[in-house]
Amino acid sequence: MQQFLFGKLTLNDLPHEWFTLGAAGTALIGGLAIFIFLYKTKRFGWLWKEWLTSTDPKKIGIMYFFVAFFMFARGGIDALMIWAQQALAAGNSGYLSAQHFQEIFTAHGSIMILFMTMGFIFGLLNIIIPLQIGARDVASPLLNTLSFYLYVAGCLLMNVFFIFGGSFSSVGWLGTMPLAGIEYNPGVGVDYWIWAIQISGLGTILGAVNFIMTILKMRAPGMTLMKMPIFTWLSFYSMIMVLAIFPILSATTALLWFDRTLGMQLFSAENGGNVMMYMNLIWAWGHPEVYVLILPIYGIYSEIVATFSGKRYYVYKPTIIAGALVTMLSMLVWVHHFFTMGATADVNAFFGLMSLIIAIPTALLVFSWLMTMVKGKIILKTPMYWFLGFIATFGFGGVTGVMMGVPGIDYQVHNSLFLVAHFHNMVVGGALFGVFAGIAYWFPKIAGIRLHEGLGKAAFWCWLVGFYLSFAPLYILGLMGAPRRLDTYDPSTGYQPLFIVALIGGLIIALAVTLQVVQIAYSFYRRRELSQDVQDPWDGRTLEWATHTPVPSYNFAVLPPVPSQDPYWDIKQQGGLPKPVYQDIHMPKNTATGLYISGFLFLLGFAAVWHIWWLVAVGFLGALIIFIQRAFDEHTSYIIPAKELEKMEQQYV
Amino acid sequence: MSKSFSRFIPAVVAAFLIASLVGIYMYAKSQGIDVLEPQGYIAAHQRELFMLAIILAAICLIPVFILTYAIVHRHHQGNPHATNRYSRFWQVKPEASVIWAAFISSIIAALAIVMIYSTVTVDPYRPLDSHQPSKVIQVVALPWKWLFIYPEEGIATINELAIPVDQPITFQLTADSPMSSFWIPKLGGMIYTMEGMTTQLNLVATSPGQFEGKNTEINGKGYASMKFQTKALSIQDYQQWVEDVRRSPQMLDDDTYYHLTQDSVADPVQKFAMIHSHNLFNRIIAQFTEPNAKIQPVSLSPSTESTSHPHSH
Repeated sequence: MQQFLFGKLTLNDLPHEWFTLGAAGTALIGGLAIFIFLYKTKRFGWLWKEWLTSTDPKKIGIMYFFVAFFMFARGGIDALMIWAQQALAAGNSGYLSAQHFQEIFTAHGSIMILFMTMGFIFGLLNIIIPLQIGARDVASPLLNTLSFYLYVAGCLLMNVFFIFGGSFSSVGWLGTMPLAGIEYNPGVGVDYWIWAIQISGLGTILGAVNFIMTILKMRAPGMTLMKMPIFTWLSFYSMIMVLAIFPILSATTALLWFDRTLGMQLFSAENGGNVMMYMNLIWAWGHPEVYVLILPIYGIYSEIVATFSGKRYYVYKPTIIAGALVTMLSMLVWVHHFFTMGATADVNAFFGLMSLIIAIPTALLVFSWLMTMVKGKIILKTPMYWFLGFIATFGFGGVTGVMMGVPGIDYQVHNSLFLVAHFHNMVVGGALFGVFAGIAYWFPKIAGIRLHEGLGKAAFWCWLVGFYLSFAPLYILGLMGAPRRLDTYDPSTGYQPLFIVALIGGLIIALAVTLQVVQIAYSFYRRRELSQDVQDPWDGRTLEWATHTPVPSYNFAVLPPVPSQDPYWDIKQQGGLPKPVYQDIHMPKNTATGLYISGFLFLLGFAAVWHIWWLVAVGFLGALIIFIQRAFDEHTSYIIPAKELEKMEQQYV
Repeated sequence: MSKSFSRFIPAVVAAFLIASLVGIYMYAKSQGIDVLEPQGYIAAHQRELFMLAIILAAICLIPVFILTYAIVHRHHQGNPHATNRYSRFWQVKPEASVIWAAFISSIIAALAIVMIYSTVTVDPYRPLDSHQPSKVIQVVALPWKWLFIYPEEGIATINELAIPVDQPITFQLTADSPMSSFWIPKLGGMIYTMEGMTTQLNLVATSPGQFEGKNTEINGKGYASMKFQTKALSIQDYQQWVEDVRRSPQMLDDDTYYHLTQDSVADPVQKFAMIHSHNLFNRIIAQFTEPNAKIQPVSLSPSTESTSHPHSH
């Protein structure tokens, strides 16, 4: 009976280690604090109506930021623990057990790539894309809120073991077979990872569908594809890639779950399975995924460079073509993640060639940015600092990537710390700096407050110095022969001083993040001075700047004209928007459907991990019923009459 | 922060980082940078490749950095001349991006040609060009130690690999533990080891010495301690080493092998004077490809037959 009710879950699985107890305690205290705050300020209703059930992509975007920041903190603490362990564990086991250490870096990788970066990117897409294309909303507000809550459900599944039992996966952020199989990892860790990815992956796919439809169908009249901002174009490519590749991830993790739960032998070493197939499938997803992350970031840099140089973006068409080339080529390079698995020379040479060729469109993009700055009036505010920091770091990551695209070299540096340094160069120096740049750039429009410049620049310098101090030693360590993922090593290897330098870099990064939090808090504290001139602080070129600040729920009262690639410059040159002729506007109502469906799917995921089959059925049926109920709901939108619209607009005059 | 002070921050930061990098490099050099100080033929080739790639990378990166600095300096809003040069819709001639694309493409093409050629020459499966026939050594990745089987000499060791200098070695590798990766940085690149499969690695040591070997693919809790010592010895020293192993009291039979497949961490070096089963390596692989072929200790199996021969079918 107990097995039927609770599946594999027993009292022994509940939190009992120092870190699970610590996290459970923190969650309890934090949750209580939030509950008491909401109760005292009577804001439950406000939270529900204004935020949780909102279909406004600007609000959903901000919620993405909050959750992504929480995951960033979690992944960052993981990083500090890794730095500390590796600095201490020369000739001893450090302060973490090997098992725990392996769980930490598995969680760190999964969180930073899938839940932090994707979260920030989807947040920016939500807020900026409809504004940039002159639309009022995304194509499907329902899918949008559903995507967000599926992402939240995935985040919860990544962390729920702290409170409700078990442990997390310890097989690496993508896993290998047969290590991730039921024989070598019979616990629930890998299953938590599988279900977190399945559920949030569904959200990502739906989000991609949504943004593709939005970009194709909801542009303001006059905005042809060839007048779209670069950020929108490159994000468009990214979303197309998501549609192409995320089904691979869903299918592969599902097959892994079948191997683990139903006794299938797809990826096992015996009974006709093939462990190499898992590597191929998971990296056929994994490599294009990093391009999914970086293409919108390239778009952010493009916008920033053009705006802060006061120039039209250079070579628009070749950039679009370069983006398309990167999209297609990124699907053809995945074997470079396992050149050393024993493929023949011709296979390795082909994928090496593709990996080298993909450097060419990327180099063209860098050239485009540099040429955009020529004959500009470059303003070196924080967003430009992040761009220049990107040039200084991503370049090294790019060339070390090209080096590892040569199989002969890769045979010596694969899975060493050289590899770890390379990809951190790309995701931190490239993607994360781009996220920071985008937030610094668009913060005035999103929050109605400018961010304090001095603190922003201080945070930037700390990030740059901390990053170099942390990852330059890793390149050298890799060349010294240090494998990745070491929880301990012999002092005679001489690694320890370099790990200590890396730890110092990590502490400087921790300082940098603190400065960023302080910057935001301080900017709100000084909002009286910092909320001047927030409607168009940078002399923007694109339509998101043509709105009021804060942006009303309907974005544009009247859809703006789009004479050229820099429509807001044109509007400003003509002396502003033409006299508005108000019409009724169709707006989506709030809905809790996304929240409820994701809640049920979270239950389904949790139950599937612990083999609580009746709860799986409840989760599935609950989600299905809510979905069907919504399908029959005919009152999902409302109208803002033209007269009321005119009144709302008057307050901005 | 006063304007004049903040102008120096980029230079100070750059100087600090360059000094740190030099310091890190010099420290590492004092400890020995295995990949850049090869003692094997393949590793020497790979080092040349690496150096060529660094030079090509520098040829790409240094112009980009200089160009970025020059452009920011020249067109910075604070620069009085920048205002005169400012032109909102100015675009560099299309020829410029063609020249840049050609420049990058030629570097990539050069690297690609070298890449294709080297992928063939340092292919782990490619036998080394030599008058001497290759010596076969079989490697089995176990949790969390390495078993080396010497079919010619009929001996085996745990966590100690000895090879004669200038003797090409063909490693045949498999695993009786999750996917691992066999790497001796001073001799050459790595290759994965997988249950039920054989991979191959061809290496040769060009000078005597003792080098570290390691695993780079996570395969469980004991992953970090899965290291072994490689000794490249002169032919006489090698023969002495073989004799030394032959004097060991331990034998490698099915009982011993079964115990080796149990989890253990940081194993000391073990030496086996004799291997009872002549095709132990193939039987280890057969455990995964044939039914009822698991190597069992005598005490656990119902009859003595099934321990010494895998079931034929």
